[in-house]
Amino acid sequence: MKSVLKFTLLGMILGAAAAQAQNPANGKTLFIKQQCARCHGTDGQGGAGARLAPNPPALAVMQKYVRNPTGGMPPYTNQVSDADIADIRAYLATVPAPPAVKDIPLLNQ
Amino acid sequence: MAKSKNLTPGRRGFLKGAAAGAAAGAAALVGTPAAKAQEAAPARGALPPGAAQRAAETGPPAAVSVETTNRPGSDYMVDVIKSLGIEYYAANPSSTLKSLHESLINHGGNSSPEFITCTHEEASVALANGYFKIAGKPMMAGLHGTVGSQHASMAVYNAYCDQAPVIVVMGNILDAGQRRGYVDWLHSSQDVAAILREYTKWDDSPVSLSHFGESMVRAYKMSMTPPLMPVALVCDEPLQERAIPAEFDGRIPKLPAISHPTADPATLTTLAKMLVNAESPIFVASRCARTPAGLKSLIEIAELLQAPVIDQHFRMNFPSRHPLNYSFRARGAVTSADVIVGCEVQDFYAVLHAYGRGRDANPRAITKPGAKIVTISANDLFTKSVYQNFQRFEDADMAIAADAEATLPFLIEEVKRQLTGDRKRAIEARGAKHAEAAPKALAQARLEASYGWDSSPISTSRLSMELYGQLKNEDWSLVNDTVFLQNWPLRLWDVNKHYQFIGGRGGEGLGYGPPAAVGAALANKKFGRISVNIQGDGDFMYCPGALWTAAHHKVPLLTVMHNNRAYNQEVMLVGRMASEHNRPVDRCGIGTTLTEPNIQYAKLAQGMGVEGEGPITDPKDLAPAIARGIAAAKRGEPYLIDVVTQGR
Repeated sequence: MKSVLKFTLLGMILGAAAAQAQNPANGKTLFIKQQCARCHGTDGQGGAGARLAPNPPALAVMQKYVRNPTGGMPPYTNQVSDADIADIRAYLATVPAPPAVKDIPLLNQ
Repeated sequence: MAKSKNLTPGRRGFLKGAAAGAAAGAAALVGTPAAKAQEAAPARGALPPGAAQRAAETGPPAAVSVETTNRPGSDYMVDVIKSLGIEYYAANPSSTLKSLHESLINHGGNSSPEFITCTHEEASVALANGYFKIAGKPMMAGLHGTVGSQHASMAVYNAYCDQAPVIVVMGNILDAGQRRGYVDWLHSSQDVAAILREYTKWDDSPVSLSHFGESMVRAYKMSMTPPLMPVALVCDEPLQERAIPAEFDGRIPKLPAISHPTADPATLTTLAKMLVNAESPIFVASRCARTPAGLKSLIEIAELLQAPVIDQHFRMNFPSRHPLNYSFRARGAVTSADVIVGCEVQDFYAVLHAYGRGRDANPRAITKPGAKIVTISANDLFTKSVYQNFQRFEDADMAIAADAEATLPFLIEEVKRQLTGDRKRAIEARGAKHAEAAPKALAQARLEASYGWDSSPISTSRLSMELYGQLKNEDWSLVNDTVFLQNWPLRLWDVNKHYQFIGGRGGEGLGYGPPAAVGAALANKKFGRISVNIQGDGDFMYCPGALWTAAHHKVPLLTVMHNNRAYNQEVMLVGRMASEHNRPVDRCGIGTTLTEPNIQYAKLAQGMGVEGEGPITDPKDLAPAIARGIAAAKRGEPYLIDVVTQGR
C-alpha cells in the first residue's frame, strides 16, 4: 500500500513538474512557426483543420494524433518534440471561450 | 489637292500613293541645308520628322489619290453585333482590331455595345464571364492576335469550365501580303483560334462580310445553346478596314429563339416513378439554375418530394436557409439516399465516393447498396477530350442528356401525376424530419462561427457576418466564390435570390476574381444592386488592373480583401509535403507567402482611382469601414477594404 502511495505521489510530482515546464508562449510561437495556425487558425478556432481551442484535447491524445493522424492532417513525425506539443497544448489551453452565440447579435440575424 | 476616293479597296494602293506623294515632296527639298541635316539624323523612334515627311506634311499637296472609306467593313460588323443586343465589349485596345474598335465607338456610338477598357486580355474575358452569370446573356471580349489570345487563354478556359458563354473576337492578318512590318508578322497566325479551340465550343475565321455576319449570329446561337460555352470568331484586319463592297447586300442573319434540350417523355416517366417510390431521394446541383427559373423549379421538386438538395454552389441553385438545404450536411444525405439525381453536376464521382488518404488509396463508394444514380446534364451532349474537365466517370444507372433547368418542369408535372395519397403522406412525414433538423444545423454553424470571434488576424466568420450585418438591409449580390473563407456566407447568410451568389472560377485558374466581379457588378448596376466581392489576395494580384476598370467605368463594387498574406492553400500543401518527407515544416512559407513587404491593397486601389482603406486588423474596425464601403457603392463607386484575415 505504502509503495503504491509512493509511486502515485512521485507521479503527481513529476506530472506537476512537467506541467510547470510547459510554456504557453513558446507554444504559441511554435503553433505559428510550424504552420499549425494555417489550418487550425491562430487561436486554434478551426479552419481547414479542426478546432483545437478552447478546451484542447488531452496531451496524450494530441501527442499520439500528431504523429499518426487519421484524418486530413499530415503526420508530424519529427518536426515537433513531445515537449513542443505540450507547449502548444498549453497555449491552446489559454485561449478563452468565445462569447455565447446568443450574446453575439451578428450571429443571430 | 488630294482627292478622296471612297470604296477603293486595299491598303496597298493607299501606301503606294502615300509613298509617291512623300517622294515628290522630298524631291523638291533635296539639297537644302535643312534637308541634309535631317537626313544625317539616325532614323529612330521619336525623333523629329525627316525632310521627306516635313515636305509631305507642309509642302504643296501632291496630286495623288488618298484613300478614305466612309463605310469600312467593321461598320457592318458592328451592325451585326448590335442586332444581337450585346451590351458590352471588353477589351484591351488592339492594332488588329482597331477598325472594329473605331466602328464601335463612332459608327456604333459606343452604346450596345459599350467599350469597356481592360488592362489585360485575361481581365476582358473574366469580366465577360462574371457578367454572364448575372445578365444571363453573353458579352464580347476583344483579343489582339496571337499575344492577346495567349494572355486571355486561361480566362477562356475558366469560362469554358464554368459553362459561361463569352463571344471572343480575335484580330488577325491572315494574308501575308497585307502585313506591314515585323510586329504584324509576330502577331499573325495561320490559325489564330487554334490556341482556344480545345476550350471553346466553336470558332470560325470569316473571309468575307457575309461570312462574318452568319458566323457572328451562329456564334451567339451556339454559345447560348446548352451546354453553354464560349465561342471565338476571328476578325481579319483587312476585312474590317476595307470598304464594304458595293455589291454586298448588308443582310443581317436572324437570331432564332433558342430552345433547350429536355428529356424524352418515357425517360421522365421512369425517373418520376423512381422518385415517387423512393424513401430518401436527394438532388445534387452544381450549375442547375442557369436562370431564376431553375432555382424556382429546384425548390418546387424538392418540396414536392421533401427531398434534400446538395447545392455545390457553382451557381445559386437553392436557398441557403431552406429546410431541405443539405449542402453542408452532404455526406449524411448521400449515404442515406436511395435515389440520387445529379443536376448539371461538376464532379458527381466525388459526391458519391470518399477518396481516402494518399494518392494511391482506392476511392470508396459511400452510397447505400442499391442506390440509384441519375444524371441530368447537357454536358452529355458535348465533350472534348484534351482537357479533362469532364471529370471521373460516375457509374450512373441513368444518364439523361438534357438541360436540367429545362427538364425539371416536365419532371415536376410527371411526379405530380404519379403521386398517390399514400406516397404523399410518407413524403409529408419525411419533410417533418427535415424541418426539425434544419434549425439544429444552423445553430451548429453559428456556434462554429463564434470561435475566434475576436481574433486578430480577423476570422473569416467575423468578416462574413460583419458584412452581412449591413448588407442584409440592402439589395445585394455576392460576386465571387466563398470557398477560401470556409463558405461562411453560404452557411450563415440568407441567400435566396438567383443573383445573390454566382459561384467562382470554373477552371480554378487564378486571375478570375477582380475582373469577374467587375463584370458581374456591371450587370448588377442597372438594377441598383450592391455588388460585393470578398477577394483573396493571391487571386487579386493576378489582375489588380480590374480596379482601374471599375473606377474608369464607375462600376459600383465593394471589394473586401481576404488578405491572409499568402497563397494559403499552397502553404498547407507544401507543409504537407515536408511532413510526409520527414523534413522541416517551418520553411514552407518560402515561395508561398505574400509578406516582406506586406502588400498595401488600399494604396494600390487609391493609385487606380478607387477609394480604399486598411489594412484592418481589429475586428471592431470592420463595421464603420463596411458602412463607408456600402455608402460608396450606393453612390455608384467602387471601394476597397483591406482586411487582414486568418488563413481560412
